[in-house]
Amino acid sequence: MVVGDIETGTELLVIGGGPAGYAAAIRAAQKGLEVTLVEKEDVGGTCLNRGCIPAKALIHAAGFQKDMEHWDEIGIHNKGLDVEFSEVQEWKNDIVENLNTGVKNKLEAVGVELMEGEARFLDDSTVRVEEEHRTDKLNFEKCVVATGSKPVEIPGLEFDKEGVISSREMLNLEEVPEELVVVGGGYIGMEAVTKFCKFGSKVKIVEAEERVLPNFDEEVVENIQETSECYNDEIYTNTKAFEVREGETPVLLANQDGEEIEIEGDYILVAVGRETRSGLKSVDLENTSVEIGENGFLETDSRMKASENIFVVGDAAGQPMLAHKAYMEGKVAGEVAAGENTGMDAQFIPKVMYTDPEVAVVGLTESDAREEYEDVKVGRFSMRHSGRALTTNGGDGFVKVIASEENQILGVTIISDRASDMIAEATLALEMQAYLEDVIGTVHAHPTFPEAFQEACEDALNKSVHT
Amino acid sequence: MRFEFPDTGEGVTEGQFLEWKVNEGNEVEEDQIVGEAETDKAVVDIPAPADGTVSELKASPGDTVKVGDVIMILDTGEGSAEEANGSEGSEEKVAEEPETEENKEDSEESSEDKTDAVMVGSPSASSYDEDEKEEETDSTNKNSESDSGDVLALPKVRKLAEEKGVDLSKLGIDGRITEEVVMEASGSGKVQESQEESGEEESEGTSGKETEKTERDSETVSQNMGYVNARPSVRKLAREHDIEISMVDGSGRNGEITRDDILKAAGEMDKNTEQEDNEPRQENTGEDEPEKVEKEELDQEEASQDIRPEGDVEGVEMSGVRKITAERMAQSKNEAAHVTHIEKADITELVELRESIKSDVDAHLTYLPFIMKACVAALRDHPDLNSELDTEHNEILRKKFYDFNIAVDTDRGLMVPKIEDIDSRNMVELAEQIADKASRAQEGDLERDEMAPGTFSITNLGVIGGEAFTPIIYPPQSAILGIGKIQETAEVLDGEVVPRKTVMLSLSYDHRVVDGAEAAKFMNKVIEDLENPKNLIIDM
Repeated sequence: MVVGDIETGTELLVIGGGPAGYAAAIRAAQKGLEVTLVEKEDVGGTCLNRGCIPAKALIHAAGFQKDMEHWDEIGIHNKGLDVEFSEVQEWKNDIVENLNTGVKNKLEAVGVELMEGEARFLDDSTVRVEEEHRTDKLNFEKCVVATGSKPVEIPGLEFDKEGVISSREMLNLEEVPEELVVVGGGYIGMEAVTKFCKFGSKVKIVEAEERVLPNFDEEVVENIQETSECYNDEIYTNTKAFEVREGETPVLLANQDGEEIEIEGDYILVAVGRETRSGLKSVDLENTSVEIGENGFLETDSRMKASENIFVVGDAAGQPMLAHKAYMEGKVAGEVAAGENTGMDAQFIPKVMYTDPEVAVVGLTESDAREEYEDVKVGRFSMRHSGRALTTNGGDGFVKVIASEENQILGVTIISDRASDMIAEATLALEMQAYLEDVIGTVHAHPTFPEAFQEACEDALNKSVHT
Repeated sequence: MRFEFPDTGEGVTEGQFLEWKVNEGNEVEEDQIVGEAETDKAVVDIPAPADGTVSELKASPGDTVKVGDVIMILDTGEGSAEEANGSEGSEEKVAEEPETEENKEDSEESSEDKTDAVMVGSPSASSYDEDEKEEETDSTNKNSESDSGDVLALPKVRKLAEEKGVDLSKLGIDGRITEEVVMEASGSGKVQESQEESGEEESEGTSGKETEKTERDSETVSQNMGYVNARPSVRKLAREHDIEISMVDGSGRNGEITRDDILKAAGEMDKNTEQEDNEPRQENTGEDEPEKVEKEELDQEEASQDIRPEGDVEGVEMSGVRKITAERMAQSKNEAAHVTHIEKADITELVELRESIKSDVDAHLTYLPFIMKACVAALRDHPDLNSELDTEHNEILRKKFYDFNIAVDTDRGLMVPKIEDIDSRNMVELAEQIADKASRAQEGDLERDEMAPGTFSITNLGVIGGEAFTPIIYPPQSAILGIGKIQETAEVLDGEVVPRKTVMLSLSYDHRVVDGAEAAKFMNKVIEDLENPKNLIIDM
């Protein structure tokens, strides 16, 4: 017990200022609740500060470097152009800071009280918030737990070892490494590959499973591997990393099909997944009536409630650990806390991977659909036939639509530049229970990327004009 | 579907379940009478909410059931696996959309939309008194029901569930789960199952350590939440109307649930709500803030602990009728400014008149029809006694119709059947009406709307005994006339003491609406007519 605790109260306490937490705080404040948000680092959480946003900024910059060859091809001669990586980083940091300030301003504008510190539960209605120079005891009526997740650490490859980094440090490297070893062939790993390969690094991938991106259809993986040399540079599959030998350059020791191998690189990036437990433990959740499930998540109902007055949102509430899911959950929790009758009932959550070309998937994949339905219709449109793709030096990848026998759209897979944008229309179509004819009957502007979705729908009914 | 004990209006929040008219396994049609319960002051029939097969009867004769309690599981051939979520939702809603004690009165209107909510699946749903419901229900227990994985089911049922891939804990059934329920769930839950299977697709590339495994196992995508064939705006609309969307039949392509389907379902419930709202001043329909209720519960517990019966004190459970009477009478005394005006009427001539004609009439002709007629005539002159005070709009609502409630003592307690349109009925019709309603009140056969508040009340306590008393106004009325016993008294007529038949009339009126002078004039008019019964007989 800290002497001199100051006791205050709030209607809604939000622990964690990432996408889920700040969305919950802002929404609840908009609905009239008195809200206090406790964040121990920066608002915006992993996504804004150490994940999606800085990663995409770097991928964007890396793209330019890669494109220089193409510029020459189309007559924009760029000899003598110079890439200063530290300035790229500065630019990226500006974006993060900009967004960060935006979130802070919004929190302030709607009247959310922001406390910088660490919250620890004392019981189901009290936390102690340890700030830099003081400790406050805070009573709450309702609480939203949005403690997020952290990169998983592998024994032998601890992050405190020299040269071993997580996605967080990767985004703040001061210079482009010559050689980068990525442990984990999932999408975080593959996005890292995208960035550094384009900046000119040699990237080596170590994956324990048979193939990289084990959770994407083989077709997807094959397609992006065919398209870009980045993803088949040096891939070690069926390889388990177990140790890093520190030295001038770190060396990864791994076991490939029973044989011990050594892989060297300037950095060993460990990107094998994210865990939620440490975040939940750090807030002394055991002092509440809420229990952490075996999988490290907290179980909630559709209103994001884990107990009568404790809500859980974002990564801590379960898979998929994606910011867009977190936003939606945060908003639902904020509204429910304010007494609104709402719930988290999004039926389709798209997943997007910023590889080159991008991959985006929503709903069922073709193989899932075939297992589930006797007859499915599949429509496909190759980006090679897209006028817009060709005018942007694209043309790789495809759009695939899977529909039921009755033509109801069941899933969409897109591999293409701007797949991350195109998936929005597909997700809307799915949530709207759309049929192939609905998309076909909607005029799509030309020349654009999303036309490909319409064409794929037409192809499913064997009436595509352009393929 | 889970069939909840319907709200029968008039502030009824609970009742005693009397009997089932169907058995488990029976097929029922929508609106078929499936059971009977005693609520408020009547025995009410319980109609089936939809066509279907009775899977389980959850209420037993003698049970006290509250509005919203699930009394029957009805297999309507619709999805049931998701109902758990839904009904949980509505329960939670109750807890989350608080209405405090203070603002309840003012917010009857606004609570309307909320209240139809809880009534999903009940045909005559309207108000919902969470207050009372919470009083005796362990709310935490209720909330946790659907959270806990514990379910009651025989091993063979569990096995069946496993075979059919039905998650028993997700059925949201409080009691024992039967094979039928599992079959029903498996029949309709196909979509969800398959969606769930397909949910295992999203996970991150890992390098095969233990932590990752658990993560991957748990990885699921959105489809796990159960697939509903309705677009987001429609799902939102359903939530707003507190409609369990899985219980709505989709009229769209491939059974898609459309906006209209939801509005139609909502409209049906609204209609029921409106109907009952026409009967003014019901019980509070608000829901209490859960915290508040809990606190009140505690307070009540503490208070009641002090007077727990022991020794020679016997605790007798209050019947539904007793509770309603207690509540309503206290409410009336709290709100209305009661004054009782007492005066004697010489009804010697009326007694003679009645004696002379009663044998000509088939119906049992009491004095009541005469008194009612006299009251109507007087109310025409003094309409404020036939009115209702609308405090919200500061208006006195004078009623241009004459519906009287007549207090009837029955074995079940005090009943107040309503006799309508007194002004347009003749004496014989009134006599027949009174006889009919009184005997049905005795039998407990009155429909609830037959006891809704009319415009004025008469209580004839005198037939049992008592000269004068101070009746309590039946809210939201403004006056009630009490009739003492008719007796022979010594009266002075023209300077001589003579025996006369007299009766004491006790008029309680709400001084907020009616002043003493007007009450006295009203009484004078009533007495004048009773003393000169030929005035009354004209329209016989």
